[in-house]
Amino acid sequence: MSAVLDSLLRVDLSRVSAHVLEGLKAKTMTLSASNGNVYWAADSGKTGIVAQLPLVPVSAQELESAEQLLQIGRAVQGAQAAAVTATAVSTAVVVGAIVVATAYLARKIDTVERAVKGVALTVDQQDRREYLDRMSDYTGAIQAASELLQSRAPQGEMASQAELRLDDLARSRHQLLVFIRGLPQLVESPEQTTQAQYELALQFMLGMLDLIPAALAVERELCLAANKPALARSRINDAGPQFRDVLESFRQWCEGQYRRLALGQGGFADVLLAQRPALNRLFNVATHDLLLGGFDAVLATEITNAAVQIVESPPSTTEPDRVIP
Amino acid sequence: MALKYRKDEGLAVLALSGHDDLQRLVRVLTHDESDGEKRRTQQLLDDPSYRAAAGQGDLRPAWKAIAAELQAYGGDSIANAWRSLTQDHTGVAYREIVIDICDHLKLGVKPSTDIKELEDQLLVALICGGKDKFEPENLARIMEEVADGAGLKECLQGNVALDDLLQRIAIDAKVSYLAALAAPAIASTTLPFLARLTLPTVLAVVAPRMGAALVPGLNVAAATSALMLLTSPAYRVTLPAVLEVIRIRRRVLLSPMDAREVA
Repeated sequence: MSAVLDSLLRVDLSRVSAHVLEGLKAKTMTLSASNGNVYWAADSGKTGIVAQLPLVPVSAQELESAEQLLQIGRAVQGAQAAAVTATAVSTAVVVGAIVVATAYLARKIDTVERAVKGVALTVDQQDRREYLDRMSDYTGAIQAASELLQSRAPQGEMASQAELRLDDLARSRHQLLVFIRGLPQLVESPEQTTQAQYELALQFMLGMLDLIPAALAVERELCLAANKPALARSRINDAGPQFRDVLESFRQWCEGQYRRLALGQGGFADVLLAQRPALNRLFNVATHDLLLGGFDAVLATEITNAAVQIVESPPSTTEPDRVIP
Repeated sequence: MALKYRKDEGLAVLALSGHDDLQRLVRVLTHDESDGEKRRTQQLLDDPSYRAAAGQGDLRPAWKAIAAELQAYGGDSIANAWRSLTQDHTGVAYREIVIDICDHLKLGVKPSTDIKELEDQLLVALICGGKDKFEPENLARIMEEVADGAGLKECLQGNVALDDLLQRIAIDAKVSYLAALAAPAIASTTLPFLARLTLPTVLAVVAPRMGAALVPGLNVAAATSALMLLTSPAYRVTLPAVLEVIRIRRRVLLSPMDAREVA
């Protein structure tokens, strides 16, 4: 757990200037969850970085006190559950840091890529195989974006690299969602599908739908790094609902498969039995709300809840946020 | 002769059921409740997959072995042995078992009928078979108490007229579940062995409330009903087992895939 803890930072809200706190609360500014930079929001009439907020390491107690973080923590390190209490931890920042962390993404991407290879072996049509190649392109691009965001490269260098990747990521994601929406119809007929094909397709859809909220968070960070706050907002406001539609459609399909089995109308009982816990986790995971709810909204709530005393001029000894001219 | 599961869509519902429901079904299949002894013909308790699952306290991974035991009871032992040698399974499909019971009840069902529809017809026949033993208001009261005990009273909509309820079995999942709970209790008045085998499940839901409406009926040891046709030894296992499967199917249908189970 210590390796994860070392890489997690949170904003020390007590040392953030009133000007920036108010901007974040009013959403005229937006925070990069991966590096603590505050940018002018799309509708603010200004552009660029406003400030770099003071970040401090997350303590073990703070980490364990946030339920959402524990869910992610378990995925990363197998941490044990602990009592959930109210916390002043800047959840948005910590979650962003975890999501961008290579270990967290790598685990999800590895799951998906294994499933993609399996599905590719069972798909005959050439156009479907090309689709699957693009799925791998997307996961690879997300991994590379994550590494870029963690590289701490100079701002100008990072911005140009980030901008180059944005279009491709969005295009691949759209194709991916279209494919996931259509895949269930290809495998739902027991007469035309083997159990192995059905299981691979289900694992692929599970893995991809589990990855996309985290991938969207990475895309959002990449947009901010490219100095495009409007695009960053659209990643959450537009792409988020698209993902939820696909997830809901998948949930209804699974429910239909479950009912067919229960009514004795056929299906793959062993596969559904084995995958049922994973499916229920996917449909009920709280992390999606956090990732798709928008970091700015979460942060604004935290600022309000933390009841931080807003100081106009923090003492110089506490290293307040650096306002960038 | 080892148990061999025959792919059976009618029993795939067992894969979706819970440990407790499977445990009740296992008890019906493996023990003679008249003396509490293990059935001599049962093979399930010695099946490796069943033993492993029972050891883990979760019978769900052993659903195929449990289904195979029920399939084996549906066929006669010589035919089972032949099928085991030639067809890689030992028993008969669940549908055949249900149709066999329906035939004995002279229901005249079509073999092509949907499995849930077949089961609904069996439930209706068993409930109607109790009409001779109960006053209409007592039958209605049983349904009401079962609904109350199962937390589904709202599905009666204030109307507990038996004939109306029977018509709703095919179209209302909750009424169908209530019928699956009430049918063994009602039928046990003419088939006393059912009282020992399946009534504990029903009473677990409704016991404190059931009162005199049902208990006197349980003491009726014999009847001239057509249901007496079902008292041959094979049906003493398959009928209560089928009633358990019927109850499990309706319970599963009432629970969405990611929701908590109903009572």
